[in-house]
Amino acid sequence: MKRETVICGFWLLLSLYSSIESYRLGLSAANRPGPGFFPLIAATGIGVIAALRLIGSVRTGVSAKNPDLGIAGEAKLVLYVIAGMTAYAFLLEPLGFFLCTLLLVAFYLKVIAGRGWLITLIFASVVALTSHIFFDVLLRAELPRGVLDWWM
Amino acid sequence: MATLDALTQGIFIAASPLNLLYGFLGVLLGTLVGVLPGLGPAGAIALLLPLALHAPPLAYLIMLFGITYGAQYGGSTTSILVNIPGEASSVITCLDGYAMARQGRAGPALGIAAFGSFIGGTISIFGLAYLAPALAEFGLHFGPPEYAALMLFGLTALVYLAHGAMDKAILMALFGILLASVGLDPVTGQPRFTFDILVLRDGVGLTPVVIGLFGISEVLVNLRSEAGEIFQKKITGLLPTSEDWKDSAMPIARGTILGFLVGAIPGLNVVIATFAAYALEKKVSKHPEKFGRGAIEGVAAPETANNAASCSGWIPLLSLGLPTGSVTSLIFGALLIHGLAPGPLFIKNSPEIFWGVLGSMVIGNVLLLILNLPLIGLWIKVLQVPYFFLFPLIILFGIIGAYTTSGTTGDVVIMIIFGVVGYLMRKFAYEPAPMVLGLVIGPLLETAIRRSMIMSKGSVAIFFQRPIAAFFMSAALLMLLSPLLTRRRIGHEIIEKLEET
Repeated sequence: MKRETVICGFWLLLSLYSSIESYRLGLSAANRPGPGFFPLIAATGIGVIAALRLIGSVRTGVSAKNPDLGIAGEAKLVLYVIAGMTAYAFLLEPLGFFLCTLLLVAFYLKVIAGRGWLITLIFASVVALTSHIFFDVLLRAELPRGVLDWWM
Repeated sequence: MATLDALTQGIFIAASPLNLLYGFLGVLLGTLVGVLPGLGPAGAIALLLPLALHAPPLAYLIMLFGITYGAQYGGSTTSILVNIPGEASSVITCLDGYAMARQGRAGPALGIAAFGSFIGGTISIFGLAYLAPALAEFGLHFGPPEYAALMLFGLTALVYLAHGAMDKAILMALFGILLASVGLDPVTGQPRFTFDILVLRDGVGLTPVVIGLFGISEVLVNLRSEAGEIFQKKITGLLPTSEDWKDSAMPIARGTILGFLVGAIPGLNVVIATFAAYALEKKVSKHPEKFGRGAIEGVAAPETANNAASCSGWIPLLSLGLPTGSVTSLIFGALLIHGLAPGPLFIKNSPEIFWGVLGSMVIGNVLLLILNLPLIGLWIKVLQVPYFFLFPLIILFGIIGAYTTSGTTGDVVIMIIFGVVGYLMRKFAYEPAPMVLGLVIGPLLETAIRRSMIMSKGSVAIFFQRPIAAFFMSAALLMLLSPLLTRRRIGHEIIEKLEET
């Protein structure tokens, strides 16, 4: 399946869902537009453009090749980075800022950058400590302290 | 005279120790992000948006403005030394700047870039000081239909001049507007598209979205990047010779005027100003064959134009409240966070902010000139820092920024989602700027359109019956429909050239 078809399909689905939801919210009369009026205009616009692009893509034929965007080559790295951030988001409150930061930076340096343990641990510790002092102590950013609450 | 007095007053306000410190940090950070190819001013401002909750408004804005013009200075360093533009606005500088570095003339290239930027930027600030209040006075006549038409015009101009396909840019703008309608309806208070998720009741936050779109996605795209190879590591003779000055004087003068004019027009941007300045110099030169082979005019003109345009680019935002791109949209958001309403009344209601920011720009340009030439050695060292040390820091700042916005991990999740969205957008050639603008002006546009419809009892003719609204609507329609008639977008050769480069 052509990549453009998939992308247009996504936009069309988004447009369809948003249009139905906008209608459900209420369009009211033109002289007093309701909550669904404005989103409906945006959703309809998205649908029209996606449909035009889809027609254009079908017209160019199925033989048109998808250009290589280099996603496959870096997919593993991208997934690791996203996984690290997602884990950080969910562990931030239970583990606390300091521990989470230490683990995240260490994970990125060891797994993604392939550095040795010594550099990884030194860099991760320095980043975790300085960011804790800067954001938590100096700027009082009220970051979660988690399991280390008794110590900090 | 009153303008000069006000500007002088602004310089005094900006020279207070706290404002000076923030200004210094702003230009320093700006130069740093300009030097680093993996992070732009939009990303840096996005990462710093949460600081708005803690910092004094003027000092904070001085810092953000400093980042934007500081980045123009920094961007030229990488173009000249490594042949990698730190910023899109320094792409054209690579051609002659790097050629000069290969001839052992990196010093004069960096020097003329700094002096040109200083001259262009400073003159442009004076232009901004005279033009913005006059335009704001004109904006006082605006009612809801005029505002709606002006915002539609700004959005259309950005879409018209976007890189790549125009329909994709429209799609992005509409997607931004749709995202802006998430949360409580501004008139009835009814929840829209919230899926009963608490964090969405206040809408999709600008801060986590832009940190994801500009900060996180930059990291994802640059994960495999390596530190650039520096051709000339020891830089000497930064001060241009009298011969260099003779060759550069007129390009600097023309670059200033052209940059100022291009930057002030909504939709046109700094990048276009640099290409236009380069093309003009090549056209008027007696030796066009020298361009691309180390002509100092090819560095002086675009580097002057980018700073002049980056200063005059604030005119639509500060006088009419019209953001014209990602960076101005972010500053628009920062003003809103501080309870400052950008628009025609902004200069009248917050003169100390407006003139203080302008004063800081004058000081900032001097600071950049004093700081940057001696700091070239430091920037060279920064360029050699491996990316794997930098990206965990960018991600960490992003997470902290998103978390401190609301103190919940919900905003961190939104940031991650938009980081992935931004990554895919870059890969599939969808521009983020129209989406951000749509997200920022969406609520204002909706309110203006709904009020206009109530005023006109449901007739859309109101947008064409009032002269100012009719002018903006006609211009917007012309831009939208012209590609159907001419099969070309005016001025698009420059954008295409940029894409080729």
